[in-house]
Order: sequence, then structure tokens, then C-alpha cells
Amino acid sequence: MLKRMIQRHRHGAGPFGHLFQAPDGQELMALDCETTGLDPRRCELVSVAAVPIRAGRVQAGAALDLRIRTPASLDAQSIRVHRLRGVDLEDGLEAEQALERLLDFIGNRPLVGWCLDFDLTVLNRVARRHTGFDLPNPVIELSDLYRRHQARRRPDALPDLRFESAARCLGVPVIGRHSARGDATTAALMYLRLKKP
Amino acid sequence: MVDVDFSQLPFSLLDDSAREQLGAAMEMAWFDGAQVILEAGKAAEFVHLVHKGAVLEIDPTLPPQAGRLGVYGAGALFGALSVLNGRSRYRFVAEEETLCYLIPAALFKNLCQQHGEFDEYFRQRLVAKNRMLAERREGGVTMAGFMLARVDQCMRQPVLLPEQGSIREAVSALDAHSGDSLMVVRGSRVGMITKTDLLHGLVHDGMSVDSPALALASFELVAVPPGEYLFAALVRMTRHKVARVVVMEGPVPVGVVELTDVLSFFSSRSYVVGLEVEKADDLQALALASARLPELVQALMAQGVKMRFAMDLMAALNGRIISKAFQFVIAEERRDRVCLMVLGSEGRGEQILKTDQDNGLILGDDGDWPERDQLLNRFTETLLALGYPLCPGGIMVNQPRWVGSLADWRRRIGRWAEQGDEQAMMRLAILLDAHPAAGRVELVERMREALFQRCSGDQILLSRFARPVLQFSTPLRWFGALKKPQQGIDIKKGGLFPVVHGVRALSLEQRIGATGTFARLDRLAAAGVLEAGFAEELGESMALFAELRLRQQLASLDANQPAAGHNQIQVEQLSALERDLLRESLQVVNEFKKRLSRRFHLEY
Repeated sequence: MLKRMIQRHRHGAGPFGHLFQAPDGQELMALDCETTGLDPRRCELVSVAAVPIRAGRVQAGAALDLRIRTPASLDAQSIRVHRLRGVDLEDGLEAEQALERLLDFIGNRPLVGWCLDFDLTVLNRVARRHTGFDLPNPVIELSDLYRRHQARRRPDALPDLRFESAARCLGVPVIGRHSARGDATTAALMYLRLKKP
Repeated sequence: MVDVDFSQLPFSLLDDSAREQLGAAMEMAWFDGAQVILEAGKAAEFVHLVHKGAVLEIDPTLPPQAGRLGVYGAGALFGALSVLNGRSRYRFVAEEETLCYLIPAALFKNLCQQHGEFDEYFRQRLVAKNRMLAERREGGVTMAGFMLARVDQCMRQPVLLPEQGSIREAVSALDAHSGDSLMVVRGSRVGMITKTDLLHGLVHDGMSVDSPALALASFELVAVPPGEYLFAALVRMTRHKVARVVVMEGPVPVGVVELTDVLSFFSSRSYVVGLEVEKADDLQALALASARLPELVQALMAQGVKMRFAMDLMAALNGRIISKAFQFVIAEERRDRVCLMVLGSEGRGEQILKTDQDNGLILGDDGDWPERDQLLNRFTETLLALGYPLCPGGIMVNQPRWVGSLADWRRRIGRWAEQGDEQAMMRLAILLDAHPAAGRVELVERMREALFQRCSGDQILLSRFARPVLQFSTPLRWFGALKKPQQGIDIKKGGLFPVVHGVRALSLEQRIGATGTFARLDRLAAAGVLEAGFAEELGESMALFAELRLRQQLASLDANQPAAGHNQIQVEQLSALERDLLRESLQVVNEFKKRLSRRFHLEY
């Protein structure tokens, strides 16, 4: 909180000033990253995707889907998860370029995602290096929403907090699992189900 | 990438850049079960592609069963025709939770303009769909089917007589096959002997029953091949002034077509009347078609068609007639801003023969216009000319009391609910049965919503509303036998009304938007208010009452009797089985009344 205030003070008038303004609440962004590993302090970005949600609709077609040039720590283990080989990433962007495109795309809109902490930690490592501040966007954590949703329906059961089982429970078809864009789209659809009046 | 297979029709008709455009513009949205995705008469903003779930296409002006036009499951595309036409003709409702891809209308139109084949695909679907709808309306056979019926669909097996057969043998062969004519083959020639020929032979020519029949045969025959159109066979009969033609396949006789068979084949079809209604382009033609409805009902009853189906069919036809009449009187740009609703039994779709016209009008925003009263007067007179008598209670659009904007209707509902007397309750009941017949159909739903809002939670009002159920006693004796008063049992007061009104009261309480009694019973059973078994018994009872009453009405229609006395059933004239059924149905009604009086606290 304090950090965010300080960063806003420092960068609010800079080239990224618009990122710090309060969102208008019309639009949200579902966000997902694929990385080279499971340790957010060490792993590198492989791809990142953002899918806009507006007026109760997921704008699946208008999504941003970026690939980042082969990072050093890409190994067989991670290739098995997201199926992106070094060759696939050769024409990818530099991490910094990708971040700029992403910031440009998401603007100041609130972010929605499943276990966003992980994604944001990875992104913020790049962001701090490049722009000097963390992503200032408000965050809506899907797994929290889902836990509350389940607690209301079945207060006695422990919720199964895996992404796939949550999607199944909400009746959301999993679209392209382990691609950043697919997961972000699925997350956006889950958000709409959880927010259903 | 969006999870859509673009290699499937119709997307395979697009080139890569168009598919890319499409992929980039697609959106996704959820729809809850029973949510209206696209309202009839509204402009479509998107073409929908179902990803998961199911969507129903409904014609809201028809009764629920007949109005279900189609179901769209995963992978199906709908709304394309609505986008191309500018607005939707029908209502699309999510049957269950449904996830759809949305293609913006502007982009879709662009793609259609740029890609001829893609456009053609949807135009063809439009043609195919129109044909399909026409077929449904006409009971499964189109005008084409009517004209294209072939001789072999209607011919009888020929009764063959051996060359030396006697007249006695000829007569017994005719009896055995219940035929009108027989054939004799002599050498390469085929002859025919009719019943008239036999009579002539016996009476005029003084032949005995044992003389050979061959002498009576005529060899000058009118023949048609089996593949010939029935229509053409009819023309040949008329031209040659004969009552039957022989169907010849090469030199072999394979059948006979009798004039009476052809006529009954053509005339006893419900689609004939349906067609006439559709084709009518002026009032006179419509009146002629409308006058044929009772005849059709009689044919349906004679064929033993189920009551529920007959009701649906008649409601659909009556609905079309009223909607057509509305088209003739009110200009199109006015029609789109108002909604004509039919009320009472017509609204429930349970009117089989024409009864009084019960209708009302809801004006949309800016729906009012200066010469309104005049036009509505004309509409009422038009319906009168079509054979719908005036409503003695004045529930018609020519009365300002039954015309108004949504706000007016809301005020009226409030006022009637305040009054709480019998007349006001009856008006609420009539309004609850409102069904859209023409114009902006969603206005009726909004009016009904207002009605639910005011009434459904008000226990005192509901109790008053349900009270008339007990108004007439069930015509059963203490030990459950039928009462037999001299003038007969009043089936409407004793049977129909308590069921219809009781179900209506429960529907008001449960906010059930369906208007037909059968549909309401289904919904009540689904909601757990009535057990499924009991709901079914009520439905069966209702069908029996309606059938008995209809038979009575048809009988007095034949005898040209006045309308009074339609509802009086003479118990003595019923068969033993019907009497038993009637008694049991009335017992079901009694049980229902008891439940209602407990539920709505009617006995205090």
C-alpha cells in the first residue's frame, strides 16, 4: 500500500502516469503468464496474455498474446508444461518490449486472474528493472472469489482449489490449458460466472 | 486464438484474412437458463455461435408447444438471419446455462458483402427455414406436397375377377374387399365392372346370379400410370365424367383410384385451412378461411386427435387470423410500437370454437397516435366480420379501459388490486392470461411482471383471487355419484372453471408466466407445488371436460341452436365409460378445491 503510494508519487506525472489513475470500472483485464519454472523469484517469462472483459462479455478475439524471446532458464521440465520450445520463441519479443506492450494494452484496468500473485511477482521483476515501479493496477484474485462462492454453497466442504476443478465446478469449458491466452480466457469466463447476480 | 473451428461450414467459405478479422472480433458471453438472448422484433447486435449449452428459438405469438421452432446446441450458429434482416423475427431463449461466441453484426454484414459464397450460404438457410416453418404451420405437408401427391399414395388394390366369374362371385368379391368396382382381364384387355353395372345386369338385362359377369364389363377405361399426379387423375375424371380411373403399369392393372378417395384425401387436411389463412390478402379471403375453422375442428375430432393438440392447433390458427386482421387495419410503423394481446381463454390457447373477442392493447413509448380510437374501433369491427362476436363485458381494444401504456396498466393493476371485489379480481384473472398476438411482444411480459410484482406476494389478495373456485359446487352427490338434474350438468361451472382458475391462482402465486393451463400444470409440477401425478390427473380431467363441452357445442352448431345450453351435459346421453371418467374427473376437481381452500385459506 505504502509502496504503491510512493511509486504513484514518483511516477504519477511520468510517461506512465495514466496507469496510476483510478479505473472507471467499465472494463477488466484477465491476465495470465507462462514461465520457465514454478519459483516466481527465479523463473523467466515465456508468454503473457491479457483478455478484456467488458459489459459482461469476454472479448476473446481482442486479446493480447505475447511471446518472449528464449530466456536462459527454459528447460525440458517447463517445455513439458506449456509446450513452447526454444525455437518457437526465437522470434519473440524482449521482455522489456513485451512489458511495454502489455502496459499499453491493460492501462489502468483492474486485473483478474487465478493465483495472480505468482504472475505479478514475475512481471514486477521485469517492471521494476525497466520502469522502476510495480504494476499499479487493482487486483481481483479469482481463487478468493471462488473460495467464497464455494463457502456459501457448501460451507462444510473444503474447496478444491485447483484451476481445472474450479473451472469444472463452475461449468466453464477449459480453453487451451497451459497457453497464456487460453488460461486467461478461461479465467475471464470464470470471473463472469462468479460475478453472476 | 479463439476456440472455434474455422475449417467448418460456414467459416470455411471465408479466406484467411477474413477469418483473422473474425477471430480478432469474437467475444464470449454467458446466458443463464431461461434468459432471453434475443427478443423478437429487436435488432440483433451479434451473431451467436453456441459453444456450450442449448438455445431455443420460440415464436412468442404461438402457444408454447407449437411455438418451439428450433433448438441450437454446441457448434450451432443463430441470429445470422436476424442480422441480415435487420431484426429478429423470433425470440431466442437459453434453455440452460449457455456460453456463446458473439460475432459483431457490423463485421458479419461486411463479411457477407465481401464473400459471395458466405452470403449465399445464409440466404439459402433463410429459404430452407421459411420452407420448414411453412411445413410446420400446415401440419407437415406443404402446398408443394399437396400438389405433388401421386396416384399411388391414394389408390386401392384392384379386386380381380377370373374371366369366367359369375355375378354371384363378383358380388361376394366386392363384399370381401369392401370395394366399389372389380376388374376382369380378357386376353390382353382389361375391363371394369362397377356395382352399378351389376345392378343393371340383374334388373334391366334379366341376367341371373350365375351368369358370367364378363358381359357387363366395359373395356373403354380411363387409365393413368402410378407415378401420375393425383391432381391430374382428378382432372381426367372430371373431363371424362367418370368416378374412377384404373392405374395401369404397362399392361397390368395395379390399382383403382376412386373419386371419393381423392376428395377426402384433399379436403380433410388441416393444412388446407392453414394455407388459406396464410394466403388471404384481403379481409374477404380471411373471413372465408376463418369460417372453415369449425369444419376443421369436426374433422379433427372425428380423427380422434388429442384434445391438447387440437387446442394448440386452433390457438395457432386463431392467433394467425387475429394477427392478420391486425395487419390489415394498423399500419406497420404503428404496429411495432404497440402490442396486441389476447386475453382470457384465447390467451390461454384453450378456445376451440370462436368465442367472444377478448383483447387489449399495450402502447409502447411514443406508441400513441391521434386517430388511435378510430382504428381500434375498426379492428374490433373487423374481428366481428371474421366471426368473433363482441365481448358483452367490453373487454376489447375499442374500449379505452383496455388500451394504455405500461404505466397505465400498472396503475390499473394497482387499482384493481386495491378494490378487491369480484369484478376487479376477474379482470386481474383475465389479464393474467394475456398472450401477445401481434406487435412488440415483450410488452406483455413486462405487463405481467408488473402484475406479479403487485399481486404475487399479497396473501390477502391471493385469497380473494382464488375465492371464486368455490363459487359453484361440484355436481357430485354425497357418496360420489353424479348428480342428474333435469337440465344436465353444467360442465363449465362444475368442472372447467375450478381447474382453470385454481391453476391460474397458483400460477399467480408462483409467478409462472406460461398462460396455457396444461403448460402451467407442468410448471407447477416442476416447481413442486403439485405432485406430478396429481398435476397429470388435473390435466386429463381438464381435457375430458373440454372434450365433452366441445362435442356439445358442435352438436348444437350442427342443429343451428342458439349458443345457450352449450355447457349443459346430459348425463343420460353419455356412455357408461364416459360417465365413469366424468365422475372420477369431478372427484379430482373436488380434491383440488380442498387443497386450494387450505392453501389460500378460503374457509373462514
